Amino acid sequence: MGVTEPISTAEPMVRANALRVTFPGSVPIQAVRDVDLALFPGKILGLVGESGSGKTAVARALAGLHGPSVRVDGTITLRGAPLPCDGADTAWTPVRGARIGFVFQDAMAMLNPIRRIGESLDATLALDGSSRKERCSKARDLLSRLGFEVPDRILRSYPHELSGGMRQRVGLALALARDPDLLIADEPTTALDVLVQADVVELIRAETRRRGLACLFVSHDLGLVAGLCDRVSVMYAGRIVESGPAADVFARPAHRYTAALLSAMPELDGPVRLGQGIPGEPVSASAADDGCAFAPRCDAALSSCHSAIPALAHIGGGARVSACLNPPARQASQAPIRPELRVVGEILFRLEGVGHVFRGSRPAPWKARPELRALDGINLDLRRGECLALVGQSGSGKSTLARILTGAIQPSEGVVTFRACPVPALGSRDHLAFSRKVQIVLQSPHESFDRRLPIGVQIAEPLVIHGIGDREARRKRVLRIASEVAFGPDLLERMPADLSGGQLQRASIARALVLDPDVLICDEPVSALDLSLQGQIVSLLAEQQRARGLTILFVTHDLSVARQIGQRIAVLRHGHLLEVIPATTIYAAASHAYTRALGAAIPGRGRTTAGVASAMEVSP
Amino acid sequence: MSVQYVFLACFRAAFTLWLVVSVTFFALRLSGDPVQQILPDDAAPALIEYYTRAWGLDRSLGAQYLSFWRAAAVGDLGQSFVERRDAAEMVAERLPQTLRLMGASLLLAIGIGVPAGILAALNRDRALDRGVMAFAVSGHALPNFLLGILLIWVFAVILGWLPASGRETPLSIVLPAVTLGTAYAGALARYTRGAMLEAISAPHVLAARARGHGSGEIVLREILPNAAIPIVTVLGFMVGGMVGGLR
Repeated sequence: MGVTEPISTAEPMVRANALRVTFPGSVPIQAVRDVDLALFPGKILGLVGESGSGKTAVARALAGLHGPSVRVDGTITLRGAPLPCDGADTAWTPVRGARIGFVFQDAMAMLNPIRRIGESLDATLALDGSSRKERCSKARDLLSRLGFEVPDRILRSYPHELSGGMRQRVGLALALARDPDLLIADEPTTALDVLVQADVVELIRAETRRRGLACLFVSHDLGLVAGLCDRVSVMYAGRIVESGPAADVFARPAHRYTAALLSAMPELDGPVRLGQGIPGEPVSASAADDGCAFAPRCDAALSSCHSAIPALAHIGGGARVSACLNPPARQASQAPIRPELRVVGEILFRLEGVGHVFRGSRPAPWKARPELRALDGINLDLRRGECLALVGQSGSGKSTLARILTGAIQPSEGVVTFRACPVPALGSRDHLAFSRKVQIVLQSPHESFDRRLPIGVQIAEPLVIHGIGDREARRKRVLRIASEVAFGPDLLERMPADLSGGQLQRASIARALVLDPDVLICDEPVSALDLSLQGQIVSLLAEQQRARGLTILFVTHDLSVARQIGQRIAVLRHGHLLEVIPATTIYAAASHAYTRALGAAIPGRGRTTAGVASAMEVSP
Repeated sequence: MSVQYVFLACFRAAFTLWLVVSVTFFALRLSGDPVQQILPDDAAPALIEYYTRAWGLDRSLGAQYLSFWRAAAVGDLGQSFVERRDAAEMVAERLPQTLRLMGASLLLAIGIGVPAGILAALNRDRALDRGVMAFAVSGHALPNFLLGILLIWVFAVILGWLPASGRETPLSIVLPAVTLGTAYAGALARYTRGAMLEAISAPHVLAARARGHGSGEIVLREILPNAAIPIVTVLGFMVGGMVGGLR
């Protein structure tokens, strides 16, 4: 239905028409509405969208992975032959794996923990019926092509013995084992560190070209898609709002949503800009049916945008389609440049020679406890009024450092002082007074709240613990703090499960600020959020820093986010503090090759991603 | 890894055994003098004196404890206070019957309980699931003495197919084994269903489906082995309960 994809020299390998996915429920939810896709051999199509946009539902529909209770309408053809969209699950069995390979996000969960890699790979290869010897050599070839130098060692390993990047390469091997025509990768690198991410992405690109596969790459990461994909389709609320050649779409977005997403993306180069999100929350496909789903969040919406659903229409030379009634100007708008903040406050936190060793439990009574060094010889000051961004890959010790500052972990070496007094241990008598001055915001907003208490009660809880004010005074204070962090007062009565991730993260910040602390320690506060919300939270924190003279330690794995919020950036690697540099000029100031690699590996930031990870010799 | 594991398991078993024996030894003595408990209330003081000496109960508790272990180490568990016979001998003559009955009930429990649980899990929330679970709950809830008597009444008294007691024919074990096994089968079916449901929803099951494995293969390769871990744990408790006669 609607618009067909532009004429190409090659026939599409896969074509989906008028795809609809409906999830059952008392009110059935249409997660995907009228999606048309065409995938060509040797080409990668990026499917981009925020959570709830329906991108994963499309990917699973193409591979017949929705259970029998989910309704899939429309037609899908593979090499011209129709796939059993409306058929029974068994009709899909010969298609899955053999014709369509699927790579999932969480490679650890996708491998059977009690089977060696070799067993899983062998069982999959055995589906195509060949001798044991053939399967063995095929498995070895496959793994060595995917960058494993000693395939036999991998074949003998259990999933938990491999690093995240290795597991995802095994996931790719399993998806490619039966020589499929179509490779679907659903957020395959989201759980990986940037340096490892680059490796996996390169492999997907290389295998797609070499085998002449059609590849659907599903991701929320615009930068990644821009660097990898040939074409891109942007989804919002279950519909495709814009499609076209990737470079073209990102250079000149033709839909207001794409444009807003692009300007919400933090940059690594050029002047440091203020964080800028898209107002409101991403809507899911179950939202109202009358008008463009993005209109309520769009600052350029016309009245017609609210009354009719815009259809996809060809624009330019016909290589692109877009469904926007008021397309953005050629030049994408950019967030204003962040004014310089001079920090000359006194030292609040001081770390001198701080190191920490985690000790496991004894594997046997006569064995020593295994030790894991998380931090080593950290010297660092945190000054009043500044925001220090702490950057590093997973396992670099950044969360351990954040916990040490809160008193939750007592470092095994060195001294940590807050205003020249040692930081009291969590649970000690002195910690209560300390916690009034130092508060924390955690990564996962859903896990930061009790599921059984209304949000307003939980925001007031620190006041109760510290015995501040009576019931009425506390209520007023909660209302005031909620309005400061733009958390609607009507939401205070709600339960955590009824709120979105963005709303809960605002509530989490409100709860941390309600005591009016001096220091806020934020451990990956935006990593679990959609891009359009990340900017909102970053700018909220920056605003609070300015307005209250708040001191912030902002832990993140993303150098571009660190640059957006921090005045100084501290880079951690394997528990060592590599360098502390001003945020304004990362590339000029970064003396350490690792910091530059960390930045360069963030995909689509105008730098090549190829070979960075291998050059840096990354170990988990 | 595995040698170390076996060694560690043996060490733990020995430690547990020591703990159980010691606690039992001392706890029993907390409840009073065994001589006075066994002899009639109006026994003469001289008689009490005599048996206290004869059984070595006049020595210190520590000395008694040591001499118990010294004898136990060479297989002498002493004499039964009740039957005045060698305790080890009594255990030895009863153990084969216990083990035979236990083995038969366990086979029955596993043979019925595990497949029933698998079937229920694979047909979650359908009529079959509800039916199987209703049977499992009633099997588990029905007291042994009631089920045992019901079975005797039907199969021994009315139909006359099976002996009601004794151990003369191989068929004698059927009724007691069914009685004991039914309760365990019911519990095992519930545990199996729960473990299966958890294993079914694991993401790697979806991944195996995406690679093109058929549903039977997925149950056998991806679900059942993973679900076996909690089932085996529960079975361990059941065996312990059967030997000790908790039910």
